[in-house]
Formats: sequence, structure tokens, C-alpha cells
Amino acid sequence: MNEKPLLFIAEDDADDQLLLLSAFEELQLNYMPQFVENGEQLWQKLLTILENGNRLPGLIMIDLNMPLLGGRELLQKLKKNQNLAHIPVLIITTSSAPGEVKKAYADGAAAFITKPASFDGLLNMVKLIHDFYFKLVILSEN
Amino acid sequence: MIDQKLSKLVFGISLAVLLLLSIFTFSRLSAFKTYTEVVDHSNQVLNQIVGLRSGFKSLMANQRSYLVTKEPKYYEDFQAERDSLRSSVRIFKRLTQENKVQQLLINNLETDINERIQGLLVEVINDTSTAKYKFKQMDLIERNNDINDDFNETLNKMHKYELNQMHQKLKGKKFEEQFTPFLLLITSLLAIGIISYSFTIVLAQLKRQQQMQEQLKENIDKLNKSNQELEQYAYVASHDLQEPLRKIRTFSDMLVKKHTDGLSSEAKDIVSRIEKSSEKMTLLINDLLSLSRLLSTKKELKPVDLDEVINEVLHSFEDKIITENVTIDQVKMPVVIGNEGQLHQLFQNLISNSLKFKREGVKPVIKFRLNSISKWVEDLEIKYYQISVIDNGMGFSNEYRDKMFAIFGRLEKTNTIDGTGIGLSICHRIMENHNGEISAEGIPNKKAQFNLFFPIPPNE
Repeated sequence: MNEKPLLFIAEDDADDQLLLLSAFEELQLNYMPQFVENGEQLWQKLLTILENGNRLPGLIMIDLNMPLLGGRELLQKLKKNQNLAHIPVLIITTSSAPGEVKKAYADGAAAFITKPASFDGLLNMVKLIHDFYFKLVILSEN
Repeated sequence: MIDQKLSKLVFGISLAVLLLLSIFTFSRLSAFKTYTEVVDHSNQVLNQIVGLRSGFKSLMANQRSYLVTKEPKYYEDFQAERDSLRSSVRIFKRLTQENKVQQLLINNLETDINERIQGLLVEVINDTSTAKYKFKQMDLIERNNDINDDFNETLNKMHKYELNQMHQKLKGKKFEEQFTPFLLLITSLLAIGIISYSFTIVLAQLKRQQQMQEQLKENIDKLNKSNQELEQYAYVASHDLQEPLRKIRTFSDMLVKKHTDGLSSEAKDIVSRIEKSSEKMTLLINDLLSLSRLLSTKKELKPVDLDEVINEVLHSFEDKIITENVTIDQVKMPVVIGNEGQLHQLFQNLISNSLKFKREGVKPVIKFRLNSISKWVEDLEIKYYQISVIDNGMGFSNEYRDKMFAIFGRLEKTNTIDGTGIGLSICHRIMENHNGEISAEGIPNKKAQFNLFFPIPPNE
């Protein structure tokens, strides 16, 4: 894999965007994730990529609670689209209601993660995700 | 309640009216029977009076026929008529034996008859005797006329008296004959009216009850809805409160990690205080969330072995139990019907309290005990398992024991002990969910005992 990893994150919260960016910086990874504000933006972004035949992301992380198109609906839309269904989707959320986790996996989520409550935890989370998806496993690039 | 009393009263009245109606009808029928008897009796008496009159006349006629013809047959007829007259008198006496007036009159009449018969016989003797015209004929006739007059007068009196008696006794009859159907009609109408009235009252009551039931159902629906809202509220609160809190913690953490060189030790101390407080708030929110989940979840109940639950909980505290050298004194625990997760949480809270509130310098002991007790709810006996968790820690004074189960009702307000103060109210809620109870008894600086009461499943 010569190209830099391509990671899309749908996160409406500016603070969380900042925190994630800080974590990527701190870990000195050679790439930065691309942020969108909500599910609708991510959906449009992916449709444009498909139209132009550009490179699709290797991994998508989405927050559950977002305006316009929420995480649950976005997940279902992604998994129903045959050109996008192969991309692993990680659910990142603050807390989960009972039954939420099971539903997310049933809908095709690759992982369900609650946001860590410390900076160390956040660093650890980003490192684990990076090591797993961009070092260990093989992602489909198209 | 007032309605019930009213309908009872109205039913009582209608029953009374119906009873009255039957009694009234019965008494009317009896009265008619009495009237018939009265008329029958009077008719008999009057017949006898007629018989007496005609017998008296026949007696005299037979005597005359004999006197004129001297045929023995007429004399025999005379004698037969005399006997029959006497028997008529006896019958009359018997018929009127309860009437003093008639008795007196018939006695008079009997005297007349006897005297008249004597007179007739005297005439016969006079006629046939050798001592002819022993009595003066005119004397005899005068005397007999007096007797006849007296006889007729007495007989008329008897007749008049009897008629009078009958009329007097039948006086009420005519009035009642006219009035009884009317009275029966009125009473029946009254009964029907009252019964209809009571029927409408009962109907109205039923309707009101139905309305109340509907109201109740509506309220239950509302309650369920507000419970659901509460559940949602709990989720929203937990999520929305956790979000900024998590950020506070992460940013302060980040501040320390990334700018460790640029911060003075005082600044570091302040940041660490921020972190501690936020951490505590996270615990608080999580506990609140689990309490609110207990309010709303309706999980299926199944048999749960409390031995397993307690052992699992003790296992999760294994490190602390070993490092602090805690003595655990267990007994065999029963199987109860309940929710395994909640029961786990229950013992988790109790055991963690015992470990938390230990006394300095005293080797901690946690004892488990099991008893069976009965409680009486009116006439119903309910059997309970009493499971006690007893420790030798800081204890508490019994005057505070009811406060402990209230939310945030923590007794020990020190910062040296972790905790949110929601643990015991969660326990209280869990016991309520299991149709049980929790109670506490303590001795300050000696022991704390928590008693859990689980209803014993009926087949045991």
C-alpha cells in the first residue's frame, strides 16, 4: 500500500473534530482524516466521488447523533449501496442506549466505540484503529 | 359510597313495598272469606227464624185440625211438629251461641213455645176430658193470644236483630269492594315506580363506574407515557450531560499532557481538581442513568440462584478482598424469582458499601445470613426470605436509616469515600421491582446490617 490512507469522519461537533485532529497530530501519522459535519454531507461527498470515479475512503467513522442525516440512517444507506457497502463503518458515540449496539452491528457496522473520556484514551483509540485498519488488515480500494 | 347507600335504601324500600303489597292482598282475600262466612251464617239464622215461624203456625194448625176432626193422624202430626219445633230451637241456640242477645231472645221464645204447646195440650184435654170446660174457653183464648203476640214480637225482634247484625258486619264490605282494586293498583304502581327508580340509580352508578374505569385507564396511559418520557429523558440527560463532561475531561487531560512544560505546579493542581470533579460527575450521571433505567425496564423474571450472583460479585471484588484481608462469611442462599442483572447490581452495591465504609484498623468482616419470615397483610400470610448482609464497619445510627434509601441520602459526607449516594436508592428500587423490601439497622462504629426481603415462590 503506497498511497496514504484515506479516512472520512462524519462528526458535527467542532470540539470532537479538534480532539480527533489533535490525536492524529500527536501520534504523528502521515495523514489527516477528512471531516464532514453530518451524514448528508458525507453522503453527497461519496456520491460525487462515485460520479467522478475518484478514490473512495478506506474507512468511515460516523457519530450517531448528527443533524440532517443521522448516523443510524447513514449506516443503513451506506450498506444498501452496492458501490459503498464494502467500506468498513465505525460507530463513534458518547453513550449508547440499550439495544443500540446490537442494532448497529445488525445494520452492518464494523465496530461500535464509545468516545474515551481522556486524552490518553483518545490517543489509544486512534492508534488502535490506525494499526488495525491501515497496518494489519487489507482494505478494498475501489 | 353515598350512591351505594342510596341504592341499598331504594332496594330496601321496594322490597318493603312488595311485601306490603302481598300482605295487603292476602288480608283482602281473607276479609272477603270472612264476609262470605258472615253472610252464610246470617242466612242460616234467618232460615231458622222462618222455620220457627212456620213450625209454630203448623203446630197450631195441626192441633185445630185434630180438635175439629178428632183424627189421630193430626194429633201425631201435632206431636211431630212439636218435636221439630223444639229441635229448631236447639239448632238456633247452637247457631247463635256466641250472641248473647239472640240467646236471650231464643230463651224467651222457647218459654213462649213451651207455654203455647202447654196451652194447646190444655185445649185438647179440655176437649176430650170428661170434666168438660174445666177452663173457661175465653180465658184460654185470651191467654193464647197473648203468647202468640209475644212469640211473634220476639221472633220479629230476632229477625230484625239478625238483619241488623249482618248489615253492620258487612258495612265495610261495600267500601272495600270499591276501594281494594284501586288501592292494589296504587300500591303496584308505587312498587313499579320505586323499582324503576332504583334501576335507574343502579344504571347511573354502573355508568359512573365505567366512566371512572375509563378515567383510570386514561390515567394509566398517561402515566405510562410519562414513564416513557422519563426513560427518554434519562437517555437524553445521560447523553447530553456526558458529552460536555467528556470534553471537559479530555481537554483538561490534553492540557496536562501536551503542555506539561508550560504549566506551573499550581495550574497543574487546578487542572487535576477539574478532572477529579468531572470524574465524579460522570459517576453521578451513570448512577442516575441506571436508576432511571430501573424505573422503566420491564424485564422478564426468571429463577435466579442468589449463591451464583453473590459469588460473581465477590469475585469481581477479589483484589480488594485479598489486599484488605476481608473475611467473608457465607451461607447457602436460595433461588428467587427475579432479574439477574438487577440482583447483581443489588449485591454489587451492598458489598461495595461494606468494603467502602470499613473502620480504620479493624479487620473487615462481611457476613451473609438467611432466615424465613412471615408477614401478614390482613388475613393473607406472605412468606419471605430474609437475606442479611452484615459488616463490622462504620455503621450508622438507626435514626438515619430511612434517609439512606432516599436519592442522594448519603450519611457520610466526607470526600475520603467515593460514591454518589445513589447506590442504596438503587437497591431500594430493585427490591421494589422484586415485590420485596429492604431495611437497615446499624450501630455506630460497630456494624451495618441490610436486610433484603424476597417473597418465597409459592411452590416452595
